[in-house]
Amino acid sequence: MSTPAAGGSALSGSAYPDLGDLSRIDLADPMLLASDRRYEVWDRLRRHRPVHWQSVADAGTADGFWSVTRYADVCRVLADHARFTSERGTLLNLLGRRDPAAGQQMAATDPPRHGRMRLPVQRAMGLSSARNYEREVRAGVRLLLADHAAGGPFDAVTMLAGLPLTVLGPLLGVPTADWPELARLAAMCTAEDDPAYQLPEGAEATLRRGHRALFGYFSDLARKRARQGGDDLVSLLLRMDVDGQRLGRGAVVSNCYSLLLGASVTLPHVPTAALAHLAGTDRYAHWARRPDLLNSGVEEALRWASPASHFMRVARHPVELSGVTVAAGEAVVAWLGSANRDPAVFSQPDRFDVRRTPNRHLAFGTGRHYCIGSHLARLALRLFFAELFATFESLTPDGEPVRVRSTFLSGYQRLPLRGQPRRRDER
Amino acid sequence: MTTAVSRDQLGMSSPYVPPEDELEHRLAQLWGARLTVWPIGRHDDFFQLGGDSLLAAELQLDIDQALGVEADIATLFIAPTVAELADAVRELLPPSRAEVPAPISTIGDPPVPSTVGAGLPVSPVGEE
Repeated sequence: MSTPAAGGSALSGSAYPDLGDLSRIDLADPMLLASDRRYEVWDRLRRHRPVHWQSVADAGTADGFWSVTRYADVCRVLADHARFTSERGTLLNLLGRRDPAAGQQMAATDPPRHGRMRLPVQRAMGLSSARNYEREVRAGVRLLLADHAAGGPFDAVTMLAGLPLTVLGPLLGVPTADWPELARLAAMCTAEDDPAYQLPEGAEATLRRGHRALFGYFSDLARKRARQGGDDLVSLLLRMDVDGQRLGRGAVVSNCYSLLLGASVTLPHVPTAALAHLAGTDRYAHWARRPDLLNSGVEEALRWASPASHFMRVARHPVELSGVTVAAGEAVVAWLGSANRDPAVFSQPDRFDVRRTPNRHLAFGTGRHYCIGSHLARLALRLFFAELFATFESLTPDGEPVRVRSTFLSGYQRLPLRGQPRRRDER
Repeated sequence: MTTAVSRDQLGMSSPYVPPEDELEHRLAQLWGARLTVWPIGRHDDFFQLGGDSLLAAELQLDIDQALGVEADIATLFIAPTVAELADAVRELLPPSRAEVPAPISTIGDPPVPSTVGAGLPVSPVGEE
């Protein structure tokens, strides 16, 4: 049985067993990613088809895409910016389309320009900045938990929806009254297939509407900052000098958009994925009793959740990956979620181990485009779990969890839990 | 210098309706300069004309600077036509200025309005 890859593969199909079955896998199907079946599919791809071509009918100029699922290949694709460009779409939903943000938004810009844009923002979002925000973020986290501190049922997803803006809101200088709407629009842009966010007009319209509304919001914010000045990130982007020129207004707004989506994707979905696994077991209490394992446990939660399932790159030159030649101009989707379960790197990858060290997970990506908000995200996650453990003695499931339907975002749309508050003298 | 694309090449879903008053003409000029498309009809959708969200943010700044008012931002991103935008701008203009918003020299010369249009040279607004 042999199915020659449509994208210029050098390998014949006979090199792999189970081919017929694997050939029918649709990695662009949001339903697959929304089920635990994805781990089984990724596992089989890692073993039998580490570089896998999938044809796609309706994707602009592209006729399909490659998927890489092994840790080593995912690292290579993300880190080798000389061979893989970020300027022709970085997410599957941009496959075969022109990315208007190319060269303007950090995530869609290759070095060396990328570095000149990133450095000032990175400084503002770095470790020292994270420390400055600690008190503010802790207060925000306590506020999220406060409503449920007395115990009883709650939806962890609803509770955590406020976390991204708790962290990013002060940095961008966004008024707190706007946070819920921004969170909703961000969800429309990252999980457009999900019935909870989808407009009656469909996924495409949902993505378009959310995207434009956010651009409109940040255009308005940039207007105000341009007039009044400020020491927030929007003002920094407006003042920034890249290669002797100010960033255009489109670039400023596009970077704000990207920062918001980045935060919205990572933050809420890391604790929910961990809690979905820990609730109702004694693993929650075990971790809660060990403050010395807070940091390693947060890294494990990041690995476990891998909320950004994939990033896409386009090969600039022909490249060989695990014995398969990818032709110039072809798209390669690097599945972070799969790399983070690769047994070649993580022993017992399907075990949630709060002691796991080393834990070189790729939840924040790798290479030059490594998540710019990682310091702030880690801070927020550590504070969240510390406050959660101080609040609840135990957590139990309180209904069926519902996963987000998306090819990009891995997480929960609903996670009903019931909290047993700690007695006061224990806190 | 960029060569403008003719509107006819874009396969627009609605027929061409020319801008009506001076404000609409002025807005259409700003759109044409940003999009390098000509001519711009008053009911044409910005995104269908080849615009994207980044260009919309640039165009919003062009309009703010050229007209000296900051129209509701949702218009350009959610209901993006010259006619809708003119309505939003008109609400903000003082009655004395409602007729003719004067071009501001610092943003470069707008393209010459023309119904022939195709191949007209356009200097993008704001480029230095």
